[in-house]
This record gives sequence, structure tokens and C-alpha cells, in this order.
Amino acid sequence: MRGGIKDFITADECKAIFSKIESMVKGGGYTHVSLSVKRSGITRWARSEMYVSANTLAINLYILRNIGGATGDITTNRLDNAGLLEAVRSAESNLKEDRERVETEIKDPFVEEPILKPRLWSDMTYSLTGAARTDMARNMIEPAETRGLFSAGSLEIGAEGRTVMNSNGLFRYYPITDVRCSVTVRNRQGTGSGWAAQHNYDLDRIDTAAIANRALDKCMKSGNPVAVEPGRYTVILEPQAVGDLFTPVLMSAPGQENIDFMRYRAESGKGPFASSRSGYSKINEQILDRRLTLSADPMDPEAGFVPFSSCGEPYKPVKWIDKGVLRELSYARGYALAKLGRATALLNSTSYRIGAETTGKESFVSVEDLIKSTERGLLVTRLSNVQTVNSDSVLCTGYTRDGLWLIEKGKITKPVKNFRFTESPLFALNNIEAIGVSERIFNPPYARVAPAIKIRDFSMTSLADSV
Amino acid sequence: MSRINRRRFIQKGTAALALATVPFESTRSEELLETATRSNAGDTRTLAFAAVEAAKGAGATYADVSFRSTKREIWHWWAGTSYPVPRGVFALSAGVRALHNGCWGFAGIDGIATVDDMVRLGQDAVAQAKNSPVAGKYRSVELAFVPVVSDGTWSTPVTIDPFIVSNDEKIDFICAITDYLGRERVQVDFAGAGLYLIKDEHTFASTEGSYIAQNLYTTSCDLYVTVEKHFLNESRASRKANFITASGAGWEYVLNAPFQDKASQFVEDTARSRYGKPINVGRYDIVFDAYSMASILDATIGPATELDRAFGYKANEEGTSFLSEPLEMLGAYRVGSPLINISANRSMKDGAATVGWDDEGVEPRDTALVTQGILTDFQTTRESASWMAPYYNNSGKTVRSGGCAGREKASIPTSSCAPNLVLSPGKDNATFQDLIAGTKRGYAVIGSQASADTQALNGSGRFGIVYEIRNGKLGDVVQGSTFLFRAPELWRNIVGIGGNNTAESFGLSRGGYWSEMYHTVSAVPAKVTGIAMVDTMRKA
Repeated sequence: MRGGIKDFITADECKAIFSKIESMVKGGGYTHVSLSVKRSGITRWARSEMYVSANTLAINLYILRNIGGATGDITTNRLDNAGLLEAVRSAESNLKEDRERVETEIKDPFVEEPILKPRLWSDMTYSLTGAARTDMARNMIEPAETRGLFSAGSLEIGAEGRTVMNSNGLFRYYPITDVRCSVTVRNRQGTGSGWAAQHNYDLDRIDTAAIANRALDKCMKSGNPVAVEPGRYTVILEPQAVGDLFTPVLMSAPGQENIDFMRYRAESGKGPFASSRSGYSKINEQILDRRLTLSADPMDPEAGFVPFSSCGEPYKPVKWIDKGVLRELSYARGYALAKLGRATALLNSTSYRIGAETTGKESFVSVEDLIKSTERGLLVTRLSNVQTVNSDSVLCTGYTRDGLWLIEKGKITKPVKNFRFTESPLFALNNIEAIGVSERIFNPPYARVAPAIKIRDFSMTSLADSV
Repeated sequence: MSRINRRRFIQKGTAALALATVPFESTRSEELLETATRSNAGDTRTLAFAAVEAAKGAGATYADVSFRSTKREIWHWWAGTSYPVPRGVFALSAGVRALHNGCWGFAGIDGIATVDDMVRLGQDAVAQAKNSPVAGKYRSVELAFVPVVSDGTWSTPVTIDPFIVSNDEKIDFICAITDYLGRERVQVDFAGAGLYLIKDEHTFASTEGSYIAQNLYTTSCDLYVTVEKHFLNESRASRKANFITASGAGWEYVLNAPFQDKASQFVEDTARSRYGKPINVGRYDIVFDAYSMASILDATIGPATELDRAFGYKANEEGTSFLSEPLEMLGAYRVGSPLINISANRSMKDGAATVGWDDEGVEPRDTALVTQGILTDFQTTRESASWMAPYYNNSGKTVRSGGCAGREKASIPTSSCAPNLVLSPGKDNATFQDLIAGTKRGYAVIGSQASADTQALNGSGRFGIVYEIRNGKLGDVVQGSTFLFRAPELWRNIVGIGGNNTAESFGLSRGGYWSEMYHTVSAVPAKVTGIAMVDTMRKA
């Protein structure tokens, strides 16, 4: 036990901390606390050698105090009594600076609202020892090492207790386990690179051998790439590449939601979801291919996530886009009350599933089958450095990475040099030729699922010959 | 402490600035040093050596321990919204790193640590290391020599501790700037400001007997404006000021920022960038201002000369380097034109990465990374410096770390971090205007941000403002352009650089949102031939 807290924080320990905080506050008012305690075991390797093995304990405690409408907050990682007292006093000191006080009573209409209960905990994951973790890492290194290639990677196993509590009686607690496994294999000449990764709460769903072999296979097939002309290509984006391209629609930067995905913003004429009619959004308008659906559901068996926000408000299942039609945009509680007559928000968790529905004759095919059906095109493993160039259209630029191949007459014929691309996910996902099977992609800490998609006229703008 | 009067502050002229600094108690760095040693002595030393001894007892051939006590104060405000309210962060962290049979083990915790915790961390770090060999194969790790520092203390030399400046003064400052930007310039839709103040108390101890305590300050300020839609093309523009960024200094950095000199130009440039003629795609001579060159340096040679990255130790996380054969390239590879001299340091005045000692107890040395265009060194830590031993020995240099070990908090494994970088001025006293005057046809790029791919090889730059150059004079504004480059070609094609009087420093971060890791890049304007200019939104 460390400071009374075990490596993994339980619900009772969270309640005890909140009781302490409540006993320390002065001046009455409202107190909100969110707390995360995460133990991680990390093994990293590079050049086919184990580089570092680590155990870490990360604590994040956020306290907000509101007295008479004035708000002050503080973030700390101290859970000892002196640290909690200092945090509470700091928050109360900060609220004195809130000089434009809004005399509101903090209400949480969702206090009694139940949350969904996705399974995000695995005993098998939690109980993995450091020795077992390094055994797994060794097994991922050896295939590359025996072939004289360099393997670099990371295996991280985490267990986290996450809670939101407030003085209105709200108590939300969720235990989560987390496995992040990624491998990059490069040849010694530096002319070939392959990558594969998986992220899930359940170690049983992580196939480390498959990850290592996939990265190895891509490396071996990507050596000595040749240059092909920039231009518009039919591309097969593997699921990871689809996620890399699509994520800017929902997120503007790591950890930041894209405010252009908010309903008030679209209705004020800003962002890609603003209608040509003043004061309206594009809700109920066709914006993507009719086969595509964008949804988020904490109970999703592959893309489940913690079922409440940092305010404790429950996430509900939502179909943002249904058969290509925009159905919802996110909104906060204030907007819901003022504009929709609803008491609760519709929040963007930034976890998602890009799903597809068949239109009858077609079915979801494997990447291999997408290749076979392609006369000429490119197979893309993933994208990197994706940056939004124009927020009104979500036009993005970035680079292909870790494996790019030319497809000719239904076969991969040669590895090609990487490209810089310029494309908008909202344009590209209207130029779909075929959709593949979905899989969970690697975007920790978020849970995201995307299919492989074959897209025509994808703009590869210029050569980028890095490997 | 008397309050700054907002009206006095925004009066033009140096007198107002001088008055603005008078009311504060100046806190000498010696006083800060005393505070640092008092707060870190006794208990922290006991905790540190408890961990170190535990690691030794468990079989470590080397171990070090770090503590951090971090305080952050964050202010965000957008004119016309509610009153600025501070947000605070304070955090403790501790970590032990141990070396056993060539493998590193690490154990770290957030929050307050007891002696028992530190003993457990020391033992756990060694246990982690013992798990590591691959098929019985052990790495060979040598740590470059570092002198023992048995009782080292250092503090960022600040004149005004930002954490003793009253909230009233900070609010007055933020409101003064944003009011000025918002009201004095009718085109401004809204203006915003952010203040980020960081104080880090670092403590380091090692099995070699070093014990070091440091107080590090970072003061950072962001200013943003958004200018209303242009009446012709309805294009809005937003920009962030680069005349005030981040610095290893105190509140004096904010007060002494050239606000009066540069704010008007900043707004004018933002307004001008909304409307212009389209770019004629092609290759041109480009004159980059100092900020653009700093950004290019930070995106290319900066990461490319991290030795662990060049050797592939960051291949799975951040990427690799186009300087992919370090030992073969050193002393031979032409990175840039003979005009180019680039160095790394953690010692420059007001440098955001300036320290007394790095996270391995190494007193940083200035490192000449590129000398007259030739690659001559890399950014190193104690382990990676030993990889350079053949080169250093042949060159008559001591095998010594450059002092580039660092990380955001003590509870995560030690890594390499970005030092301060310097693109040295040229010997001629050329100015930005001189470089333009010497260009018959091309473009001038001001305030652009560059980014590059995972090898720091191919990159692009945008934002900022671009002017056409015709016959040595600035012409029309060009809208919606991006410059593309391949790093070696860009640096080799530099045909002119600014002199001493053109050097400017900018605090940059390669981390994510609210990253704590800042470094300073000092650069001069430069003229580069053969750079591709394209339309930002043009597809193939």
C-alpha cells in the first residue's frame, strides 16, 4: 500500500478521498472531483534489443469548487492529506478571481441517471506480471532478429480506476484495463519499414504473434521502393489509414474535441457541418456515401469506452451519421435546455465506429479481395502527421507511412515511395468503390473501429521519400 | 505591491515599461537558490539515497533517482468573454532508473513518496531490468563519464518570480493586451491571450554520489487575433504572435516583450493575409524570416540530430532520422550550405531548455551540430555519447554527453529531450530587407510554421504571410500558399543568411497541448533557392 492507496484504486478508496475533500472545503457551495489512478507496466525495445522495462503509477486529481456562482479549479497528483488540503485551498483561492459571477445553482439532472456498463476490465490483463510481459516482448522481437532485421516496439499493460464525484451525490466509478501493443520492423539498410499494432482492454484479444508477423511481413515487402508519379489514385486504405484520415473530423488535436462537430457552431455558420441556410446545420443532409455509418456506443463489443464524461454525464449510444446522412452533432447541456427543450447533453466521446451497410449484392470483403478487384491503385498501411489545412472542408495533408504498394491488375507488384497527400475525409468518403471488413484500430486511449475502404481519385500530391 | 495601471501600461514608449517593472520586488536568483536548497535538503536527500542504496543492494551497476515538484499556473482569456480566471496544477513525481547487465529498468510514481516507497522503487527498477535480456543476450551499455556533483544547486536566473506576481497584475496585463488588440484595431473580431507559468523543482541523485537540486522556471505567453472576413473573399484570418513565446525566465520576459513595437504590425499582417493573389506554382528563391527559419530548423535538423533517434531507438514512437548512418556521416556529410552553423545548448540566457544539469546530472555542453554545413555532432545523453566514442576519439574530443537527457515528469522513464538550438548569424551584417533586395524574383515568407515527416526529411510550411518579391522589392500578398521542401536540399540551397542584428529567439514545444517541455530556437533570416511553392488546397 502506498499512502493508503494500492496500485489500483478501488471505488471505496475513491469515496474515502472524496469524503476527505468534503471535510476540508470552506464556504459551502459545490464540489466536483474527478480522479484517475493508473498503474502501467511498459516494455520497450529497439534494434531488436530490450531497451527499458518500467512500472509507473500515474495519478490525476481534478477539483472544482463553486461558491455562489464563482468557480475555481486545480489539478494535482497528490492524494495525501496535506496535498488534498493544498488543492482545495488553491481551488477556493482561484474562485475568488472569478469576478463575473453567475448566480447559478449547479444542477446535475443526470445524478440519478444510470450509466451503461460496458465490460472494460480483464482480470487476465491486470494479473500479467512483468516477467510475462517481457516474455511476450521477446517473442515479438525474435522473428525479426532471426532475419537480420531491426524490431522496435512497445507493450504497455495498464489498470486504471476512474471516477467522477460531486457534492450533489454523483458517484461514477469505472475500472479499466488497457493493452497497447505496437511493433515497427525496419531493414538494416533503412529502405523498408512495416508497422502493426493493436489496442484493447482485454489481453486475450491481442494477438502479439500476429502483430509481430504483420509488421515483419510489411517490412520485408516494402524494401527498396520505387518512385511513381504523384496524382490521383484509387487507394485501398487499410483500417488504420481510414482512422488516421477520419479522426480530424472529431478531434482537432490530441485530447481536444473538434468544436466544428458541435451543433451550435454549425448553426452559427462555421465549420464543415454548417448548412447553406443561415442558422441551420447539415443535420438530415447526405454528407457521406450511403453505405457508411458513424456511431459511438459505450457498449460496442469492439469499440466500448468509459460510459461517462469528465463531468459525470452519461454517454449515450448515438448514430452521428446513418447511411451517409448526418443525424446528430454534439451539444452541451446549456444548448439542449435552450434550443431543444432537453435536460441532457449529447457529448462527443471521440471514440467511434465507422461501420458500413451493404446495399444488397455486395458484402464486406477482405483487403486481399479489395486488391484483387483493383486494376491500378495503391495499398496504404497508415498515414502520419495529418494536419487540417482548411477547417471548413476538413481538407487535410499528411504522409503515407510504413508500407505503400502499387497494385496492378489485381496484384501487388512493387513497393513504392511514400507520398504527401492532400485530401478531405468528407470528400474521400464520398468516392467509395468498396468497403472491407472492420477492425479495431490503434488510437489509444480511444476505442475506434474502421473498415478498409477502397477510394477513387485520392490525391497523392507529391513524393515524400522517407522510410 | 502596487498595481500596474492599465492605462500606463499601454502607453507607448519605454518609460511605461520601466515603470511597470518598478513596483515588483525583484527576487534575486540567490534568494531563489536558498529557497531551493532549503526545500530540497534533508528529507529529499534521505529519500533519494534510500532509493539509490536499495537499487545498489538489488544488484544495479548504476542507478539514479529524480524528484520533481511542479507548479503550473495557466490563464486563458478571450476578449469579450468572462473575466480571466487562473487554473492551477501542482504535482509531485519520483522515479528510479537502474542498469543491470546492460538493460534499463525503471519504476516511477506520482504523488508524495515515503522512504518505504523509494526503497520499493529502487528494488522494482532493478527487478524490471533483470527481466529484460533477449534470449539470454545482454546489451552492452557504457555511460559516458560525468564528474560527480556532490552538492549541486542551480536556479533559472529570474528577475521577477512569476508566482509572486499578484493575480491583479496578471489580469491587468492580459486585459490590457487583449483590449488593445481588440479595440485599437477595428478589423479584429476577437483577441485572446494565454499565460503559462511553470516552476519545476528538480532533485537528482545517483549511485556515483551526485546530488543536485535545481529550480527551473518557464514563462510562456500566447497572443491570438482573429480578423474579420475580408469584404472581397469573405476570408477570415487567425494568427498567433511570435514576438512573445516561451522563455526560461520570469515575469520580466512578459513585461519586456516588444508589444508596443510589434503588436500593430502583427494585426496588420494578419489582416493582410486574408486576401491576396493566388500562388504561381513553381520553384523560387524564398527569403524566410527568422521565425520561419527557427520553425524549419526545429522540424528538420533539430529532431534529425537526436542520436538515439538516428540510431533507431525512437523508430516505433516518434520516427527515425534522415541522418541514418551517424558514424559514417559525422565529419563528412554535407547537411547544408557552408554558410550554415547550427549548435545545441542548454546554457543560453533565457533559454527555455536551459538548466544547470540535465536529468542525468550532466552539466550540458554547447554542441556544434553542423559546422560550415558539415555534420559534426549529435545531441547525446550519457549512453548515446558512448556510441560516438570512435568519432570523438579520432577527433581528439572527450567522450562526453551533451546533456540532452530530460522528460516531463520524474515518474516516466528518462529519455532525450530537445535542447535549445541556434542557427548562427552570418559574418555579413545582412538584414531581412537586404536579402529581399538581392532577390530578383521570388517570395518572402514571414511567420510560417514548418512541419516534417517521421524522418524529418520531407516537410512543408504554411500559415504566416507571403509576399511576392519582384526586383528586390516586396509586392503583392499571396494567399493560400505552402512551401514544400526536402531538408538536405533546403539547407544546402541557402545562399544568404542574416547577420548578428537579425537573430531572434523563440520558445517552441514539440509536445502536445499544454506540454511542459519547451526549448528555445534562435535563428536568423535566410534566402533559399529552388523551393517549391504550391497552393495549400490544391490536390493532384
